[in-house]
Amino acid sequence: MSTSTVAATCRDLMQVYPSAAGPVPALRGIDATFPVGSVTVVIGPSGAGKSTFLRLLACLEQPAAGELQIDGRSTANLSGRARRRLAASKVGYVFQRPADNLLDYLDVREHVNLAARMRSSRDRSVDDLLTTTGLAEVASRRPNDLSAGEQQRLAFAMAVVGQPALVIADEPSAELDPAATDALVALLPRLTARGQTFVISSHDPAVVTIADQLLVIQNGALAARAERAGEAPLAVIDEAGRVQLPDEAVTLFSEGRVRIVIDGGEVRMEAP
Amino acid sequence: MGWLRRLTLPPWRRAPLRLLHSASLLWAVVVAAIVLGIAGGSRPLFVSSAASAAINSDITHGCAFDVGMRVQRQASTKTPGPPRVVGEPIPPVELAAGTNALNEAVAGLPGLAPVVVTLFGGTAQIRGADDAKTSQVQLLSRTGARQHLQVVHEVAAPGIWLPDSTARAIGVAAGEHITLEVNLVPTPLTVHAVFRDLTEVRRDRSWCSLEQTLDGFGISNPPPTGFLDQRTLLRLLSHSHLANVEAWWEYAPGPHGWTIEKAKKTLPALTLIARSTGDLSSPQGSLLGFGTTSVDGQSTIAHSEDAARTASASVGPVALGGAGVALLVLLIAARAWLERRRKEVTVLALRGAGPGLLAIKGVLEMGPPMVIGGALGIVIGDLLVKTVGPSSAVDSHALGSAARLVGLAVAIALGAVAIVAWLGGRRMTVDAASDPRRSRLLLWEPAVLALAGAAYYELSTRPTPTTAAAPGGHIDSLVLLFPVLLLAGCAGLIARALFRGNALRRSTGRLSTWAWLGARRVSAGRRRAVPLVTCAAVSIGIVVFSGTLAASLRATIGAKSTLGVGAAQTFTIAAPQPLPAAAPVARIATEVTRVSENANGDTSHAPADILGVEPATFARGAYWDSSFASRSLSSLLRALSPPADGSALPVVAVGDGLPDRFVLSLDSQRAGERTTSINIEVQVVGRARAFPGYGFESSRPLVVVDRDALAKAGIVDSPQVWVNRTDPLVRSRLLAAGMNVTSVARASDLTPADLTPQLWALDYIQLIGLVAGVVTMCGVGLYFASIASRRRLGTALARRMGMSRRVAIASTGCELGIMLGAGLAIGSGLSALAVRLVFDHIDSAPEIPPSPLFRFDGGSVIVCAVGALVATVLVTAVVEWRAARVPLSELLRHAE
Repeated sequence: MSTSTVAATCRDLMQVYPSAAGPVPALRGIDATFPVGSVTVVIGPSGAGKSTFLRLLACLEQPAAGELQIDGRSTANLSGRARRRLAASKVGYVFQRPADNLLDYLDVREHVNLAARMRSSRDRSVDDLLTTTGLAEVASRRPNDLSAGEQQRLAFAMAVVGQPALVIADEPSAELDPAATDALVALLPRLTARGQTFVISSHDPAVVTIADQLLVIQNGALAARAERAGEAPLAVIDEAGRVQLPDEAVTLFSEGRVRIVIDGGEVRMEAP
Repeated sequence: MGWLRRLTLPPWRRAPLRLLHSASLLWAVVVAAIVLGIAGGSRPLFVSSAASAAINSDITHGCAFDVGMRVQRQASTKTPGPPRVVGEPIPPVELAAGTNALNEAVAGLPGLAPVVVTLFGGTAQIRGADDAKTSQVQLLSRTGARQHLQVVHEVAAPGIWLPDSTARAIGVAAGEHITLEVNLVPTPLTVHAVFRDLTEVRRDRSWCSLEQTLDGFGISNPPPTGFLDQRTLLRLLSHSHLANVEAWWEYAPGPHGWTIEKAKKTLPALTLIARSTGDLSSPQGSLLGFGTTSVDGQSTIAHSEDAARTASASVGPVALGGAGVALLVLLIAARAWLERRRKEVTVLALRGAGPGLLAIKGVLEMGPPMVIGGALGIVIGDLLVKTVGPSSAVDSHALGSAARLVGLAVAIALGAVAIVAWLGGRRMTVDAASDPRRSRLLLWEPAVLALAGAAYYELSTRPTPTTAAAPGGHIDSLVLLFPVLLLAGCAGLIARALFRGNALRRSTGRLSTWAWLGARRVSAGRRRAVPLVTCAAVSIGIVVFSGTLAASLRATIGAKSTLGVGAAQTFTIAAPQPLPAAAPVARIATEVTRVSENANGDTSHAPADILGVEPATFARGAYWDSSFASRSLSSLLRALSPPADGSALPVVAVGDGLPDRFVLSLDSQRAGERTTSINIEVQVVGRARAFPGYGFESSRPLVVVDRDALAKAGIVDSPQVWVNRTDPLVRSRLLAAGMNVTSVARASDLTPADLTPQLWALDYIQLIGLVAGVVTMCGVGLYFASIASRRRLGTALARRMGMSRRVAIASTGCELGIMLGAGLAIGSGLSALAVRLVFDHIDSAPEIPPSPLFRFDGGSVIVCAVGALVATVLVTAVVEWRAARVPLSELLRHAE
């Protein structure tokens, strides 16, 4: 594992896809840095370029332009094979649908072992990881015998085993119920505590609340970036301008109404 | 070596058994590999079988004893024989000593039956108890003869076996006493048994070496044959003061026949023994003395090797075609595997498994069933060749060759699977996202059609018909390769055109729901439908093509051989003699007169042969094919009625060189008169391309006239009786009717032996076509199994939204029917076209009319149609059954 404090960086990352009508720009130059042990949540409307951005970060595609460094290693000019190797050793990936991450003929422990050995990892902490992810009790079960939440936690366990520099998750909670989402959200801090770095695409407010960094992508470009200041949680403003407040903030407005005061560069919320 | 360690991980370690969880895919792979095994492995097995069949044909249709060794010597009638005195001529061999010496010489040679010893005791006078009745009988002793006689009556007392004709002649029965007089010495004997005279029954092949003795072949008129055991005959001859007896020791192939391997080992060894027996300085030669020893080794082996070459050259392209179809289905299976493993491949690729590792996984999963299928293919091919092939005798080394070929074919197939998996693995991991364009079906048909065109050009520009030009008379490879290429190329293009764009959807827009649904499904699954329809068309095309070619070749060969003889059997009668109308044989026979024109005729026409026929009976005794003339036979015969006014004699002209009216010059001999030349003016009232009795002995034109008209002119020479039946007993029936038969010609004896392997090859080709058809059905089954699992949710939802079960079943049946029906129509049509194009190049003997007869094998089309129908029903039933038994809730839970 690298001793660097940055797991990955990208500079002016661009991607263009061919189409019948001519080249279509999917990403128009994105700069971002992903500190070790952080959770970055990427949000944006459908078709904004989130998935393309994640695929580039996961080394599944070669960017049309720009630079991407993972664990201090540039991905520019890498052959397909070298890119695959880098992705296998340095990047973990979690699909949106829990079942898509798993093989139906392996049990939980075999899945994690497989991921570790595919990553050529000597990580002996498979049992600890199963405990951390709450899967120790179902270690001998196969995917069909797991709930969707357990399946997705197993997918995260597979993604983090062997300590890859970066773990990418594409809408990991989209198919989970609130309880399973909460369990997943609760898991992420435990994994970041192990030094794991996450880049997650999500619209789920529960996921966004634990983000250390928030990237808003619109029309293939970085529309906004927000970072957690101290312990202050981040909130998402959707396209309609709505924002979800943390629970402790909501209790301050017992009447269910709020007055918005714009004062210079600040926005204040006051009880009416 | 990290990748090597990864092969020990569960996805690779468990791969060899993974296909067990995909029953339809496993089934398709195994069956396709079986076909690959049959197509690849059956060729050497078939060639070996054909070679063995050629040898065994010599044995069964010829004479087994002629193929083996025959030693003819004089044996002593004394037991033991006289001691040899040095310096004096070698005395006759003692029978037992000669037998022992020869048995020792042949000991260890494979495939030889036990020796058959025959003693020829000569002709004896035989008298019954009533001395007034006497007859003559040939005395014979032959090992195992009693098992081949049809006994009428038998008693326990030992004695002579008499033919019933002799027993009737002298008025004795089994158990009664007779007196044999040999060399004027009478010897009393008991009649042990009476059997059916060997000249009056259908004899089995064990008598083939004694035909001269039994029948005489017109050279002599031998008396009936009676049998004695060896000891009694020797004692009788010795008692009659005869010191020697002619003895034959015959070593024939064993009851299971020979393979070429055995023949090549045994025949040269027998030849060496034969030489040794002829060398009086050798121990065997000095023991056996003077005589002849014959072994027909070289011609037998040469015939067998010719058959092997013919079979090999003929079946090669089709075996390759069958293997190609199997390989194509395996590639479809590989793609199906890739789609079934899409999620797994993606997961593994994301964890770092490259295309190479994924290709290895594909090979590990599909390898075991392919190897097992290939091995089964060899076993099934071996059984098929032994069961329906030319012969059940197959050399052991042919099995080894088959195993090597199939091993190579399976390795190639696995290599192809690995490439498909590798390419698919690449596409699913890295390249798919960056290249949104969908891959297209490779356009391979123009290249195949170009090869077909080249093959046809080569065929058409050859100066002589292919078969005649080919050494050994085999069907030229191009005659078989061209149709396979034409079928594959055209079928592929037609299938593409059929399912191109939305044409199929639009054309069924106004049809009922099930037809509309079925057509839309086919159209949507074009990428799978096109190869499947192509495979179906090629396999059905091969079946129809080979069936039609075989039927045409058989008809042509039969016509050529029967045409010259005029009928299945022709009996030459010694003198003009009407066949008694009351005789049973008269109902199946016709009498003809065959003469040739003399040299005194006019020069306006080519010298002709003349055939006098009886218009009333000719049709029942002669061979006829409608291709011989544009008119019917009865119409031609009616036109031969002699005119009442004595004008020109009406004739039918066959062949070239005869004007409409000319003068025939013939030799006439009336009773008591000298031979004179007469001229007969004839008028051609009908023409034929060929006619029974035409063209076999010469290329002269044939003039067919009314036989009565010839008789009135005094031309009664060379009468013949024609019978269009192959029954060998007709001769004895003619004799019984009082006809003096001097010779027999049989069409079956004239069938060119070199053509038999061609017919075997065509049978094999049909078999390969049928096997390819089976694998195509497997491919169709695989296709439907692969789409059925993805379609289950849609089907279940549609059913709940009101689509009836009948419509669901009918739509699946329609989908399948469209593909198989298209394959049937394309395959049948193209095969008929292909046969038409190469038809002129299969003439086995172009110098003999008629030109090749076309026989479309409608039976094979019906078989293929029934097969397609059965496959449609079965696959539809299975697919719908599987779709109906899955609960909707389960489908929704696992819905993608």
